[in-house]
Amino acid sequence: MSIETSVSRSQLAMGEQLTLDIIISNAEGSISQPTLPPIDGFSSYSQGHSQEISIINGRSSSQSIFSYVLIANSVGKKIIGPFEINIGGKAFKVAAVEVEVISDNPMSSSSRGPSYAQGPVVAPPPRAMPGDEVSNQDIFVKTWLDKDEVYVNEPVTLTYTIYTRLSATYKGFEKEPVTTGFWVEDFPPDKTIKRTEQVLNGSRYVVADIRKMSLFPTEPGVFTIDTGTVGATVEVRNEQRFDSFFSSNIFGRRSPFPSTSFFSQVFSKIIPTDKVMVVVKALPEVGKPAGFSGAVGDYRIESSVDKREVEVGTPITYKVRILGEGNINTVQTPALPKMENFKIYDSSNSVNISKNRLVVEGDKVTETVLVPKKAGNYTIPELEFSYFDHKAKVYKTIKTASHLLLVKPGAEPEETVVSPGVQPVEQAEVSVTGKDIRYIKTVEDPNAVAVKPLYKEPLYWAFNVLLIAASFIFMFLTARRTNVKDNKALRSRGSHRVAKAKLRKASSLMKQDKHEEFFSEMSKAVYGYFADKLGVSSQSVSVELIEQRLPGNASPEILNQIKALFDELSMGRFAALQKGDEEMKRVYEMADSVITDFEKVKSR
Amino acid sequence: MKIKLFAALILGLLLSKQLIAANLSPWTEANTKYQSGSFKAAIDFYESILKTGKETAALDYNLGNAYFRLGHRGKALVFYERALKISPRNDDIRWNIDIVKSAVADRIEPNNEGLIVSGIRKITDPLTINELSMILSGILILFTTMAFIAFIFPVFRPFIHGAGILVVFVFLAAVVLFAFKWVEVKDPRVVILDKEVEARYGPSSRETKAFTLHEGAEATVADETQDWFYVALENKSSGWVPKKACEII
Repeated sequence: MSIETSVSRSQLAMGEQLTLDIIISNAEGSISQPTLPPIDGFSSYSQGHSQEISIINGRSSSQSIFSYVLIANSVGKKIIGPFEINIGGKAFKVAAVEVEVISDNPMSSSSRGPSYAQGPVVAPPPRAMPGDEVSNQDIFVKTWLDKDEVYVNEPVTLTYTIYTRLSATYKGFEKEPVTTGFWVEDFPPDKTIKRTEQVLNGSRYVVADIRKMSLFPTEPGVFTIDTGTVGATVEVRNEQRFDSFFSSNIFGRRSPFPSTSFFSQVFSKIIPTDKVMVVVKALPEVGKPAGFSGAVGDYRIESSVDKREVEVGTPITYKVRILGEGNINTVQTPALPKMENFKIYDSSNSVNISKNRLVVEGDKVTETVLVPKKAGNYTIPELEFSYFDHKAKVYKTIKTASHLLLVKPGAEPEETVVSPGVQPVEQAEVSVTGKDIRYIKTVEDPNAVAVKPLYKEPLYWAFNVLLIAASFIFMFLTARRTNVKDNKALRSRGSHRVAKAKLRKASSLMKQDKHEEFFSEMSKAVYGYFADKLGVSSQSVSVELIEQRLPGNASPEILNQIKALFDELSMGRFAALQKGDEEMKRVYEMADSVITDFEKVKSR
Repeated sequence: MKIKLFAALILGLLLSKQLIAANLSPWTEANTKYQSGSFKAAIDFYESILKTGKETAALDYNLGNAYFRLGHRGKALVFYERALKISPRNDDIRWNIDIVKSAVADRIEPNNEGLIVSGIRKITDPLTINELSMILSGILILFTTMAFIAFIFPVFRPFIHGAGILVVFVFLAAVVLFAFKWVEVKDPRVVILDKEVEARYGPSSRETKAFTLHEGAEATVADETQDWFYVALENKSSGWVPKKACEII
């Protein structure tokens, strides 16, 4: 829960007002309307109470704001507060706020409050001259109050009436009236200005009420109101003076121009006003009702509920409306007493002021939300509201009607079969009622230790780079070996073709009777063929190697043939000359058949 | 006579304290102090462990709790954040951080981040940078092993070929996560300890005020001078704050 105070401004001039808000957040228990003690140097009014409740995921938070309007009535540094506020039966202190009240400075006073510039009688003058030449008999302002003696909070009307013999335009207030000690309600200008004509001391005057305001005195005493000054522009059409001048000019004739418009002059004029005095009486103590909260005027009170029959948990809106004449802004709506079996939320306050009939009147509607917690018949009790009727000079107490409420039980709970076992209960969410930090750890996890981040260790990065490098090397090696194997397969597949070509070459050599070359070529063809087939160099080809690499399905016959061929070849190479053509032909055919047969074995 | 008695008393007290300290570990001692509500004493013990021994998540967490109980929310947040750095998956730490932050006067909300960024954050938040580093290296080790197997046993090559592509993608994802986390942690962060501190446009109290920070506000350090930190908030505003007003997490 927290309580805060805030003021709308920390520096203000005499007679100005500030708003003091007391903000109570998340209060537990009901908050009673704080009563402000008399604050030195201020008159105070309650401006109402607003409450905001939000429920999010079942967790509710609330904020209550009590607003007060304070009107400064003496100069100096002022301390507002501290106050006490009663929440749920306990008294809480509200912090004090310091503000400074300065004496009214004219700079701010002209910008303060509304200055009404009324519809022009003539177009705004291009150049205004000082209005010394317009006498105070030609134009003047009278200020008057409708009453000399009033009660505190009884309205007194201050009227400004302008009297003029000249064509004049009201330009608004040069200096605003000083209304220290009063709550001011200005009447709208269009309702106030009425033009009439009046003969005064033998002269005809145009008379208009330029401003009307209702003043509600805030405290007893004798008050003098400095009513300020009024600005106006005045148009003077002094035909004779200029006509006589021009009639004797050197041209000897009258001016050809229409003199009325040519010679009209516009002056700006500041018109002082009279001070007015009013005696403010304290309200009589005799017959003051107990619940009187300072309302003065003439009021009525109404109340209503939006539903008379509801189910448990359904909100009902209870409205109290106070309407009538008087300073409705400061009227306090009587509070609803505590009602058992209901949750009560003060929800809203709205004030509607109308000044159309030249009296301050209006209504204030306070809405309260009631949520019934239990079924049954209930009555919203009557609320009493007392006020001082200043016309009859008596206190009056009025009441709202009481309202009957019929609360029905909510939706029927689902029927459950009663079994001897476990009776199901209505389950409620486990709700968190308070928020706090969780408890300390009593066991230390020795592994959860602050360590230097790995990414700051060069070794970590070196390791990663090493891994990447290693995987690239492996990938590269794998790829290269695949290439080598592919080469081998290519060699094996092309071996027959190469051998055939070589055999053909040998055959041609045989026809030329070149023994030596024939055997050399034959050797190349046969050893080259087996070398290609086995994927080795031709020097390392041997029968044993072929025997090792030969698949098991090969017949031993072919191995014998290969052996015989190899023998023939080595013999032929070393004793080529001894061999005849027959021999060469035999070797050739032998090689041819061995290669053809071997090809079959491999391909099988 | 009186003085002697007094001195004896003090001596006795000191001795007894030492005796207790000898009997119980400072950790148990600190927890007992916390339990009995003497948070100042608990902090002294915890700090003494911090000076001599290892900084564990539990130690930081308990220190944060003790500072919180004394009302030093900024200090509490510093220790909670340190604890969270060590154990990012601990719910208690997160809960307490949320509690502290809910009481911070400044509402610093990050600029709206996209779906992808928040998605990545969801993955990286419960992991420490070291865990991410290890995941990264782990994937590399896996990849290297696979390349090695493919080299040694050609039979597995077709399987490894497919798996390898998958691993490469996983590796790239891990790199993104790592980079994201690294950006988060590379600059030190500070917590404001003073009740209120003015951030200025330059590292001097003569410079224009930029904004006001309150106790518990967190910011990233972008630069520093001898006495000032240049801090950047989550909402991208930045300013210089005096070093003595804050503490590095």
